[in-house]
Amino acid sequence: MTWAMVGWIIIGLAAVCLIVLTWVVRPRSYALRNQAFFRHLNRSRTVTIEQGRRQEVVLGHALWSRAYPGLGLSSLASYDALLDGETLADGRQTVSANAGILAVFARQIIHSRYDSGFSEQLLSPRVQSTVYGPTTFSFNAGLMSDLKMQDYGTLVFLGDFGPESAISVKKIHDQRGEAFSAAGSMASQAALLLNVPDILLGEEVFMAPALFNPQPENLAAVQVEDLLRVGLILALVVGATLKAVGVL
Amino acid sequence: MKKLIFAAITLLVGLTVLAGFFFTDQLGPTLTLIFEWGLVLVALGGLIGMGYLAAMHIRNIVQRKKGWIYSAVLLAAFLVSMVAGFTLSLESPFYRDLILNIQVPVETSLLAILAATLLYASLRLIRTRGWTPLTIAFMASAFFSLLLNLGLIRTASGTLGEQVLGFFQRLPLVGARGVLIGMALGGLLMGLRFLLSINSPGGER
Repeated sequence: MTWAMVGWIIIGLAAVCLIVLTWVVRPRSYALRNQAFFRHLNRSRTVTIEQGRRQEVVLGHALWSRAYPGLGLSSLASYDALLDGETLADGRQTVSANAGILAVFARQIIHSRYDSGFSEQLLSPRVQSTVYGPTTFSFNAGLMSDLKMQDYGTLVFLGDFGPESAISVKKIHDQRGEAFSAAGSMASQAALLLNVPDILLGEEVFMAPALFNPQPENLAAVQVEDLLRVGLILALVVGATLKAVGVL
Repeated sequence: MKKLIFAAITLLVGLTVLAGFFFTDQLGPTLTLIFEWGLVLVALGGLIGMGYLAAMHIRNIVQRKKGWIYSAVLLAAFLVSMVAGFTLSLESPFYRDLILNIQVPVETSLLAILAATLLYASLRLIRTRGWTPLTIAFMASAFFSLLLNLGLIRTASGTLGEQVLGFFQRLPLVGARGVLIGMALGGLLMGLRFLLSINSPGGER
């Protein structure tokens, strides 16, 4: 058996578990970790709306990257779960991305939400999607400038970032705002850990959609992820033991 | 109905790409075609993103928002770069000097700000996050990694000390692999969710 075959077995197993849990079992509840992250974020967003300040959601630098292929999609799934009725009605939110394609999808998410529950004629301020700059640093320069020009109360990082995202956090703190991170790359997590108290680390980033919106399909994905992780841990322990005793 | 059509197309394309890894000879040309279409769409997305950027700054100028003068400078620089890019080739030394002599120093200065920000944040780590197992472990591991990688501690080859030192030097790599395995599983699940149309990138429900 080759490593490629092992990989395909894991993919097949994950697909079967996901289908069964999403459409057959449909879990209503699951003990999610890091509930405090969601509680703090929810409180911050509520305060931001009540104070008439703006929210900024940043969706990362790329839809797809070789090192972290799922992060761009994760940021879109998280944003979809994060965009609630209060924010849509308030409209004082900017969603930005470094990659144009992410901004296009974000705009599509916003439009589909307004179309499904709001009259566009009644709402003049609308949630905006934008691109601050085409390169990583020009994006950060644009983001910092916007954070300074407008009154932001909450800054949320979702997706694929580099360590430079830490500069923007300093800016939101200077404005007496709060920052939250569900950013995926290891460099960004190490940098953001230093100055973001509410941060999701490692695989927790992919739990964000379930934390924001605990619907059965989101809970099912977290449950499958946990099952696979336990299976993988067991396989690693058994493999290491067999290697140690000379069987493998 | 719209969602069903979208889901069917996603599933068809996704399964074709997956099958392409097994049947490379038969599906090779189809895969190339799908990837090329994907690249064209992503490039188009980038172009639309530039449109959003320009629209945001034009709006700032028209509505005389705070800092609109910066938007005017940005749009002027954007237009100069674009016109120079269209009229001169990307290999033109003048164009490369024009762009790189501005872009590189500006980005380097941001990098310097980042270094200062990270240093300041690491000094304030305990005040930001408090004395928790995570912060203590983070600071201790950063300190020992720095100490070990400076090469100040040396042991004779073939001794137990060398093995112990090697173990501690490999420890960050082990941790990184653990995190990456978890993230790979998360990424796999996320990809499957979009492939099976449990989620859609445009948020259709």
